[in-house]
Amino acid sequence: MDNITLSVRRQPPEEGAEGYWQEFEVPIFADTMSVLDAMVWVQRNADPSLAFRRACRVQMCGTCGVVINGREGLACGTLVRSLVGDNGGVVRIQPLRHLPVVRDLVVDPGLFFEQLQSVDPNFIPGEGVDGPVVLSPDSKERRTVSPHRECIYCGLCYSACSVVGLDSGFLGPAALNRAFALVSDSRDGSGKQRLQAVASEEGLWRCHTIFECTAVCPKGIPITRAIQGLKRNVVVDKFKGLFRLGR
Amino acid sequence: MAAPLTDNEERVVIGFWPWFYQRVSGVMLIFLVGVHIWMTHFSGLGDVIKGEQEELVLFEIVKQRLAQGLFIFVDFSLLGLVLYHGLNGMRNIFLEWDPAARRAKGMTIGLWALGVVTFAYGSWALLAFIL
Repeated sequence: MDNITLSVRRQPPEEGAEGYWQEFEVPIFADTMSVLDAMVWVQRNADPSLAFRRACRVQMCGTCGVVINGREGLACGTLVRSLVGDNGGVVRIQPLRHLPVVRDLVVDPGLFFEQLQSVDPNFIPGEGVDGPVVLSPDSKERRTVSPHRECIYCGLCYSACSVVGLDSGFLGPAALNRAFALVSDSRDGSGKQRLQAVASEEGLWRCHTIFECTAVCPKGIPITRAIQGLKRNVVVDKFKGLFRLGR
Repeated sequence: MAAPLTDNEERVVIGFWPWFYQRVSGVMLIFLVGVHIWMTHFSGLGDVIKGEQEELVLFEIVKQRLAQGLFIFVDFSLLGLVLYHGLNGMRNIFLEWDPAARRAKGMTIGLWALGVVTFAYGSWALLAFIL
């Protein structure tokens, strides 16, 4: 049985404590073994104090997001075999970036969800929408909206976004993606307000179209396209306002 | 945490115009820089090949060109657009460092002042040809 070296960024919970890297030799017990499996193996067989979050194990909950070999990913959805050769290798795991570390691989996602709240991520029915309204599956609107509703709020995009790293006030890709999903949905009645909420110096205009969010999204959501779509919507809305169109 | 949307219905859209003008100025610059490079450096290419002109760029030709209204307009537009695009880009980079609101405002005013002074200096150089 081959082994890998799992190099884990450890962070003691005590305030001011220095973080450090710790290495564990982990057997590859199956070709389908995921990075999460390796982390669980360490917790059960080497160091029970290793802290990390996990829940569904099938890439649905978004709980086990970490940085694997420098790239954000869900630990449950990343196969060890895809990272190392047949003779083993080193897999480096560290907590998500731009969020305070609580302990080891556990981060406090509070800021991520605060930014999400600022675009009011809840569906607000528009006037006349008082019952279930079905969008036809083959309609353009449905095809536009559907991919952006797949978000599992794992925070990988937030961690990968360079702009968030520079400016913690930036709304971040997930919040903007959610805003786009709602703004593009004709059943939602808060499009105008939502556009105003995101069209700020620390909102839409801060995004530099780096595509990191799209690259790491485990659900394959074209987040950058959502942000560009929101920019287009704001431009159209602004000029409609200037020329008093549609009012 | 930010207040819910319903409490912010009158919130003003901030940062739209700098973003929008940056794109507009960028598109216009692509066109105008092309015109500028062609007219300044390559418009005499045919004459040089035919042997009717010694060099591609001649002071007299530049002077003649700048006596024409269209080229005066193009050159002043270029000057203004390059300054706006460059300084607005610098402002964007500075904003990446998340300055406090007061400092950001001071920086914007400073960059505008720098732009006005540089525009005046550039105009002075152009006017030497025109007047």
